Amino acid sequence: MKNLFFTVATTLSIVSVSYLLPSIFPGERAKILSDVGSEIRLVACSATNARTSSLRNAELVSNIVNGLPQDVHIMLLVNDRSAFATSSNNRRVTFVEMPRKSDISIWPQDPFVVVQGPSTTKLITPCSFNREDDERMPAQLAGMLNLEVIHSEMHFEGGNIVCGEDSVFIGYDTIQHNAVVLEATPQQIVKRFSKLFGRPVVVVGESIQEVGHIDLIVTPLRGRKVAVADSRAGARLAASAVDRQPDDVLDFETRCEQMYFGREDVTELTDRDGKKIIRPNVVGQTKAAISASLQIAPALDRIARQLSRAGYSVVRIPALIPDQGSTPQDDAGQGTNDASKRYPFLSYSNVLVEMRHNQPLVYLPHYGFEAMDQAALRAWDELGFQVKPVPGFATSAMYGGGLRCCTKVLLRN
Amino acid sequence: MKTKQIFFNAATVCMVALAVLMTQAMFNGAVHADQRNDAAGGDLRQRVADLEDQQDENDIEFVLIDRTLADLNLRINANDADIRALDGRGKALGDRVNRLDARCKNLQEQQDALAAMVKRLSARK
Repeated sequence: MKNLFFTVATTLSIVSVSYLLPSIFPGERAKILSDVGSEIRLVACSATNARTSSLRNAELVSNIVNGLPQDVHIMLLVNDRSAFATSSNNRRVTFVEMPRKSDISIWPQDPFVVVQGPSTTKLITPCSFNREDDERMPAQLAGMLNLEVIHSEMHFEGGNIVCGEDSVFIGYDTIQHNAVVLEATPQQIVKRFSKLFGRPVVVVGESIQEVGHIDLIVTPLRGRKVAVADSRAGARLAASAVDRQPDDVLDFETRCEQMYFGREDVTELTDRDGKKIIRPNVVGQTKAAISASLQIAPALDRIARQLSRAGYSVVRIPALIPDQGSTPQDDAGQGTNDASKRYPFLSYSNVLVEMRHNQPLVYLPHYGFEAMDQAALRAWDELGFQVKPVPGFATSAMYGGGLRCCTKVLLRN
Repeated sequence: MKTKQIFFNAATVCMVALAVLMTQAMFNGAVHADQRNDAAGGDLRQRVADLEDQQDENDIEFVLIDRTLADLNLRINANDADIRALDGRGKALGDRVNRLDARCKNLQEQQDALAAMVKRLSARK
């Protein structure tokens, strides 16, 4: 009788422990898809057209598709399929039609993150996302790929989250915003993000962000290595180009300005609400961008030091960063409220990285500022990366985004 | 007695082991109950392959053409029309101002003439 009681008690204990074990030791949990890793297999992009959008990117999408290897499949989000034709039926591109009359941006990076478990892929959306109808993107992709969409209670934008091999990096503003909105301490928010994304969280920055999204300035690399943008180096390179190749710089500025609406002769357009959009003034603005880059450099240095203190080996990549505030600068470097002065954000950190055939490879946006593009190419090359430039990002950069912003990696091999 | 004890202990161990296996199987399922088995690792890859199979050709170069450039022209033409209309309205307004100006001058002259007449009449008194 005593033995029987002992057996039953032991069995009950085992049952209880077994029940609790999965929550104590979660095992292989779902994790946010890393920005560093094996070959990219599936990517989402979005294309806008002249009928509905002032920022048309059909040519840029072609560059992205052609810049990625043949075995990468692209899910191309469009809100008006009839607006587009392709050279022929292309095996690599699947059109994903958004609901009729929905308006989308060219930035699929932001409205969701991809989380992968051993046997599942989920798209996690933020609590709310208010940019055009971009919040519909994950649902459309999930519908096409039969994936699950999880609506999170957290507030985030994919561009302010980058993921290394071990940790996920989240911009300071995202943590603070959630702390205020969810009435929690930043530490609690970090824990919640860590649980949601299945990886430890590193908060990037210790004060309000100077750059809206950290993926423009921080690139996780393999191991405990991170690349941080160096706008001081970028300013030096640009200043040297202004001195030595002024015609090239002028040519770049002129092309940025002329191609803003995709056609040289278009200087202004009216948006859906009847508001005039005026072509920005870029010619002569490189000096102001240099000045702004120098101003922002200490903030980037602080981020580099912070990550270094956190145990990461930090390398720097040049960048030319125009003024990020609401007061663009005039020729004399003074703040003005002239919104028509919009200079492209030349980020060489907003990239896609992968290991292909055991070789680290970076897909690097090029903007047409030859001296800067080449310097960035050399910087990545010196880091041991094979570099695949993807041209045509000047206009996209005038709206503040590079290659990573224009894409969302959904699957790696 | 000893054999019975050993047998009993063996049975206990077996029961415990069985309980562990059953419980693990049971609760492991519960933990993942909210996840749909769409299988990223295998099935998402398979779905991508299926999508590729549905399309026949494999071009080396992909070219996406925006067929709505004509719409851009329309938008520009609409802008031009707006500008022309505004210009026309401006001209019409200018004409009206000129006419008013002329009337104003005319009235001023009439007023001056009346004033002169009043002055002359006053002088006769």
